[in-house]
Amino acid sequence: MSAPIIEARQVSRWYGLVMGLNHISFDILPGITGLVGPNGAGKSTLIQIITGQLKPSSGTLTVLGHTPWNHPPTLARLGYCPEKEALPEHLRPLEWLTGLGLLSGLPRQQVGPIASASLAKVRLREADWGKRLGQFSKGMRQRVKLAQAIMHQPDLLVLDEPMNGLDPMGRQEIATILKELAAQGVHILISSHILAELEPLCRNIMILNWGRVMATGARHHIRSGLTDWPEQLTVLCEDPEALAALLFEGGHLLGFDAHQEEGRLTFRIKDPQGFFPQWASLVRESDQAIHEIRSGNRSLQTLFNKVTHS
Amino acid sequence: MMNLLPDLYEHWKGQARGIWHRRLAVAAQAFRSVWSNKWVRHLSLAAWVLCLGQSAILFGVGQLLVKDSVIYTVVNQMDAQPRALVGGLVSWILERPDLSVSSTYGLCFYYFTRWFQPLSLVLVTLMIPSLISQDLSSRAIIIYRSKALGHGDYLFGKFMAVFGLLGFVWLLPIMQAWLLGCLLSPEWSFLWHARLALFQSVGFVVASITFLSLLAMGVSALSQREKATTVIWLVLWILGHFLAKSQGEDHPWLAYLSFTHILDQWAIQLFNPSAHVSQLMENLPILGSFTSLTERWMRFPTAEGSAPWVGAAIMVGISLIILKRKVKPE
Repeated sequence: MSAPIIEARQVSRWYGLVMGLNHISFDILPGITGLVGPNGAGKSTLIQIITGQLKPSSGTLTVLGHTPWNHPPTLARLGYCPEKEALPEHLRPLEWLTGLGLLSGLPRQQVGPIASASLAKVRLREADWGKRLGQFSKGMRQRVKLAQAIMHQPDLLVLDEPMNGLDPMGRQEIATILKELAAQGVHILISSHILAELEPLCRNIMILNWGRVMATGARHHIRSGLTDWPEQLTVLCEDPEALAALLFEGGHLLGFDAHQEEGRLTFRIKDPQGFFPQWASLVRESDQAIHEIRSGNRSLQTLFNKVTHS
Repeated sequence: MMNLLPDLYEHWKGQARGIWHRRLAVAAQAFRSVWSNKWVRHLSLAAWVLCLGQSAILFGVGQLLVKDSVIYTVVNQMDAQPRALVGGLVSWILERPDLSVSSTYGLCFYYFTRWFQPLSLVLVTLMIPSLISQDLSSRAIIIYRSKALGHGDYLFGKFMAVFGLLGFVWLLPIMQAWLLGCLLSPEWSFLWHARLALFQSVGFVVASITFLSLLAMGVSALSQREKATTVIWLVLWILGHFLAKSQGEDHPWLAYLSFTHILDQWAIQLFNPSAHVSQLMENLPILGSFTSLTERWMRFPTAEGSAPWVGAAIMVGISLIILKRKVKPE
C-alpha cells in the first residue's frame, strides 16, 4: 500500500467558541480523492489547513511528509485553486500568472512560456489573454484559477469546487485534464458539492460532517463497511420472479420486490462479499436475458446521504 | 480520448529560485501596481526635479564660498551687509573649511530633506489602496498565501515595494543632490567636509521611510475597501497634524498621534540645526544684522528626547498587529 500523502492526527480547529474541525484523524492516499460534505462540514477549514493558510488549534497534519504551516518548501509542492473569486481584476491573465510563477520560484526566462502553456492547458482562448480579469466570465475566471494552481507543476493539487461556473463542456474538459494530471503522477484533492462530478473522477473519498470525518477511503470499502445497510440491486430481466426464486434458494437475499409486468426485480443482498463473485454464474444459471443491472445504493450520492444521515 | 494537453506543455524540472527572488517578485508586483498610477509617476518626476533644484542651490552656496566666483563678484557689487556676509564666509572657509562646509551643508540638508516629506506623504496616500487593500478586496491574498512563501515573506515583499518607491523619491534624490552639490562645489574637499550632512540625511530619510512604509502597510490592511484606506490615512495625517499643532502644548502626548510631528522631532534630533546656526553665528558675527533671517533660523522646535521614538514604536507596533490580524485568508 502506498504511503499517505496527507496524514492528520487528532486535528482540531476552533474559531472562538465554534469548532471548525473536531479531533479528526485520517490518511489520504495517492491519486484523486474527493472531499465531500454539506455546507459547514469543515471542508474549507480542512483545505485551508492543508494548504498552509491556517494552523490547526491542536493535533498534527502533514502534507507530503511535512507540516504545511509556514513551510515554503512544502507549499512549493502544492497547487491550490480556491472556491472564492480570488483574482485581481485590474490584471491580465498572463501578467498575473507570470507574477505568480515568480512567486513559486520559476526562473524569469521560463515563467512566460510556462504561464502561456498553463493557460492553453485549461483551454482559455488565446484571444482572451489580453483582456483584464475583471472582464472575464465566471467560467473563464475558474480556468485562470486552475491555471495558476497547475503552472508550477505541483505534486499535490488542492481544488475547492473547481467546476463552479463552468458549462457542461467545460466541466468535461476540466475533468479530463484532472485525470491526465493524475495519470502523470499528480495527487489531487478535490472538493465539490456536485457529487455526480466527483463520481467518475474519484476512487477515494472523504466525507465530512459537523467537523468530523464520517468516512474515508475507497468508495467500495466505505460501502462494505456499512453493514447495517444492505447492498441493493435492481435488475431488468425477462422473468423477475424466476430470478428471485433462484437467488432465494441460494440464500443470497434479505428481501426482494418483483414486478413481473415491468420485468423488474429489486433485491437486497445478504452477504455482498460472497454474492458478487457468484453473480455472473447465477445470471447464467437463470438462463434468461438480463437487460440492465443498477446498483441501488452504491452511488456517491446515496453513500453520502447514508453516511451523513441526510 | 482526445488529448487536451497541448504539446508545448511539459513538466518543469528546473531548480526553483530562492526565497529572496520570491520576495522580490512580491515587491515587483506591488511596485508595478503602484507605478501604473500616473500621479505616482508625476510625483516621482517632481521629486527628481526638486533634487536638481537643490543641487543648483548647493552650487550657488558653493560659489559664495570662493573669492573669484561669479556669484561672489555679483554679491560684492550689492549692499554692505551681503558683501560682509559673503566676505565672512570666504574668510571662514579659508580658516576652518571643515566647520564652515559642515555647518552650511548640515543646515541646507535639514531643510532639503524636509522638502521631500509632503511629497512622499502624498505618494503614500496614492499608494495605500493598491498595497494590501487591493489584494484583500480581490481575495487574491488567498492565492498568494498558498504559494511558496513564509507568512512574513508576502509582507516583507510589500514593505520592499513601499520602501523602494519612497527611497526612489526621497532617499535617492537627496543623495543625488548631495553628490551633485559636492561635485559642483569649488573644491573636492567639500565631499569630505560635507559627509556629516549626508550621513544625517540618509539616517533621517531611512528612518522616516521605514516608519512611513510600516504605517502605510498597516493602514492599507485595515479595510478591504480601497477608498476607505485612503480616507483613514488622510484622517491620520491631517487630524494628527492638527492635534499636534493646536493641542500639543496643553497635552503633549497628543502630539505623538501625529506622524508628521514625530518626523519633525527626528529631524531636529538628527540634524541638530540649532548647533549649526550657533556655529554660523559665532563665526560670522555679521549674521546678527540679519535679524529677521536669524530669528527665523533660530525658531526650531525643542527636541523632545525619546518620546517621539516611543510614539513611533507604538504606532509601528499597532501597525504590525493590524498586519498580523488582517492579512490572512478569511
